[in-house]
Amino acid sequence: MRRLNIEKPKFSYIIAIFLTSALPASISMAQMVDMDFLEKNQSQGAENIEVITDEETLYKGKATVMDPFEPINRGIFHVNSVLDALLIRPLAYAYQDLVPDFTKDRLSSFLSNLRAPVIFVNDLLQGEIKQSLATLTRFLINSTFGFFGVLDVASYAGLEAKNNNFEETFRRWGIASGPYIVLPLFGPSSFRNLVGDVAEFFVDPYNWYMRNHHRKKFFGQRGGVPIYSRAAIVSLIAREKALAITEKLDKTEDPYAQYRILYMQNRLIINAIEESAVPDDVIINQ
Amino acid sequence: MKFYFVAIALFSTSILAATQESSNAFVNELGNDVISILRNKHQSMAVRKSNFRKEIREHFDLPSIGKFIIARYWRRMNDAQHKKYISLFEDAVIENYASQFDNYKQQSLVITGSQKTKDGGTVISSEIRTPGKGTPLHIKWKVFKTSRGLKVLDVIVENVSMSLTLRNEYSSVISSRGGKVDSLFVYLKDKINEDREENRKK
Repeated sequence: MRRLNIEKPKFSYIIAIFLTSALPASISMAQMVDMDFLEKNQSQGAENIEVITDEETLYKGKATVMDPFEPINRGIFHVNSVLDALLIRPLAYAYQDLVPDFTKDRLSSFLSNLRAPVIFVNDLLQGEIKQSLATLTRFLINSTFGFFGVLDVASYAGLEAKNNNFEETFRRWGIASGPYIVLPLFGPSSFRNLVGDVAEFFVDPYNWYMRNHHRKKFFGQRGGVPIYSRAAIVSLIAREKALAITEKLDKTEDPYAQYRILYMQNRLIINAIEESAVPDDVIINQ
Repeated sequence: MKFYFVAIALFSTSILAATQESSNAFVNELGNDVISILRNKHQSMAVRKSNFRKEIREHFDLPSIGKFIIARYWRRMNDAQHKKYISLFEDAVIENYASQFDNYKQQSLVITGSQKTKDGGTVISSEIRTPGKGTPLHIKWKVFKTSRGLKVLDVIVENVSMSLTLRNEYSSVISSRGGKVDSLFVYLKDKINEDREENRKK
């Protein structure tokens, strides 16, 4: 009797876990944290889990911070910093110094093009029809005239690249981010971000193709080598791009807090535009 | 009477439009002025820095920005400390950005839109485009109309606000050194000297 060979992606278990845990996180409300409270606990080594709703009225604008797991997050952040210093950062510097700019640009262009299907899907899911057409056109032009995306011909034609991902889709759908979490190796994140990344991992046609048609298995995962090596290269390139900024950030007094506030602004968990200074002598038109 | 109200309505919308237009022009002018400083690579660093400082002073409301960044500590400082802080803050900003003059690679600033905010400001959206490199950098400028003219109160790069981030940084410095504001002055002086040394080599 022939056995049915059904490939069960191991990550389906992980999806199940995180989708169920993301739900209560998305329902939880963002709470205002008194900056005094926050900094008092930072310097004391932060044993706090409780979040206060005091409003600081001495200055305009309040940073909305959701970090109930701060002690754990700081621990993982520290481990990540060590890993970064020992392994990832040296690799990134090697990539920066040894690989010529031309090659770097070609590789970035190729990898960006590979993401186009995921970007396209998210453009549609967000109702950005015009942008989705631009994404599709870019993909078609660069994949053909750009030799599988190695040359970014579309940009020269006037079609600028625009990034998109599942987390942004969830955000537009009104799903809250959930608390700030620092993941081992992956760094600053949130439940919304994590679910988004897992979704992308499955939706990406490159991964899908490798999972189903690649000839070799890697630790039980078919297509493991091309899938994980692509992910590793993408990460390395991202790390290299961020080297200058992280060098500055790592010199600050509390890098953990700096990364956190940058992350929360970048993912629009804090809407920075509405939080800036207002001059005392502002003239407002009616 | 009706005509009077219609006229007022038209006049005020045109003021709004004018403010948005003039904010656009304001940011455009700032962008072009800065780009010309960046392009002028054969000028000495000292001249470029002083031109840059002039641009910043003219277009940015540094005292308001500085006050916002230091948040609750402003109240605890006396007038002399206020002045010292604003002066150090300005130097820190100038030296920090001067160290990046050489990173300029023929980029262009393109204004892509504007909108009003709830607090009476205007946000000008723009992109920094590098020829040949994929995704442009998204920069938003928050501009307010003040009695001293139009002023930039914040620069938001890829959703990250300069003032919010600096506030976080300075707050960490002060709180980790026993809540003394003078510790921030030391920190700023160190940063300024560090950047100055680096800039001297250029």
